[in-house]
Amino acid sequence: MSANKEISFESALAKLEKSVDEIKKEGTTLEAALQLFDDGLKQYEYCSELLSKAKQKVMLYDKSTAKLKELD
Amino acid sequence: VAIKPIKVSQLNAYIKRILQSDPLLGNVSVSGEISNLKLHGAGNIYFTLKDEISKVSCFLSSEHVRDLHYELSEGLEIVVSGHLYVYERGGSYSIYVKEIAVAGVGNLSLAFEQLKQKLSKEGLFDQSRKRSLPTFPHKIAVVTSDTGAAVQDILKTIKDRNTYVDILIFPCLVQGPGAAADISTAIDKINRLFPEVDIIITGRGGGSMEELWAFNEESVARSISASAIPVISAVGHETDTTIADFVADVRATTPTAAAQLAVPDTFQIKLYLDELLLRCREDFTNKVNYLKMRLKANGFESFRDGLLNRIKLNESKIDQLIEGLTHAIQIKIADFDLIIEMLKIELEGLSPLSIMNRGYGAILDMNGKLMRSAIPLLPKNQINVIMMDGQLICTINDRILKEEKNVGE
Repeated sequence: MSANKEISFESALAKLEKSVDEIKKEGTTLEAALQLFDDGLKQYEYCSELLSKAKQKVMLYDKSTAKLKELD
Repeated sequence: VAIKPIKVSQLNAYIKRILQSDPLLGNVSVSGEISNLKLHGAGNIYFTLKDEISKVSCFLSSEHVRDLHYELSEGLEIVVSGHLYVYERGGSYSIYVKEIAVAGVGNLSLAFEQLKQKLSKEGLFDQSRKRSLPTFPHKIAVVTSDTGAAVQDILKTIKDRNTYVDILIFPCLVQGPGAAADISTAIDKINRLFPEVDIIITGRGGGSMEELWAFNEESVARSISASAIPVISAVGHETDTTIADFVADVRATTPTAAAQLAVPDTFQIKLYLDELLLRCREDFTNKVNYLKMRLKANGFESFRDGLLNRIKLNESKIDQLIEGLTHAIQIKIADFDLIIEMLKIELEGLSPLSIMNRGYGAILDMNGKLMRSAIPLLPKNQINVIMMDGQLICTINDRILKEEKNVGE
């Protein structure tokens, strides 16, 4: 299920962190900073959305039927 | 009384009957040292148990070998329990061993050390084999008893920390016969059936060394090391260390600790995300402000401001000069005033009027010329005497010169 996501939470978070670092750099042009800010915002929204989708599932594997059963 | 001779087989059968019907020999425990250890092809083990003086043959059948957690070795001090068995054909006897206890350290400790050494030699505990856990797992598999405290601890801890991650519980026996095989199979199965699982937690709550034993079995160690998915071991309490702990990628001291290690705190992550966004925003704003400032520093406004400043500067310079000049002139004027005043005083001392004040008069001839001598003046001449407060027009009656007077005398 994590494999078919476009990007992982980790890489989105890493991108956001990189944006913050890059914007700060003196050599970054305004255009680049704008782009980085835009990117950073996108990553933030992506990460937040992922987190706020509180869709945690707890499943129990049934050996006899070899099937998963959802708990709760 | 003469006894009729009997056959060898009859003797041995008799001895067998006597010995094997003896209640003491039917359930005997004997201590000694292993020697002449032989593993038979069928899985049976033969060895000699000896002390300083005597020795006795021992036999351990393959079904009992399986119950041993450890390997027997030459010189090992053990206590065997079993019954005496007589081989009629050979006329020998041996102990049919059902149980072996290791003297001193105990069976389990020995088994533990043996397996630990073996797997360590194979490199299964090497630090280089250990994989780091993913920082943001999507799915966690839990291999433990579904009725124990461990599964509850893990579930509660994960749910408290993380509202995102999916949890897959794989119930299995965690103690007693079959537990090791169950755990091992579960780990293999998860790898095969649910390869998307990010982390496997396997373990159980606290218990005696015997109760935790499944986690010291080789099959469990093998499955953990073969798992493509990182494994966290969480067996018993902090003081319990199992072979599974050595092989696992991460050892957690308790099931609760395993859950904490496995999943990040989503609330903390949210805070961190917000902080990152804030920083992103601030940094961007700072950048823009900085550029604005630089633009301003080089723009028309600044050029104009610079010019105005220079004008103002020059104006104030001029003002200063004028002020200085005015001041200097005033000083000069004051100087002159003083000089004039002094001259006036000096002049006043020289003025004929001041002499007249004392009662003198000035004598002018008819032409208004000031006379310094009486000689040019003759009787009948008119003179003008100027005094302080008026003039006297006079006619000279007589003239007496100083020499004439002297002559007259």
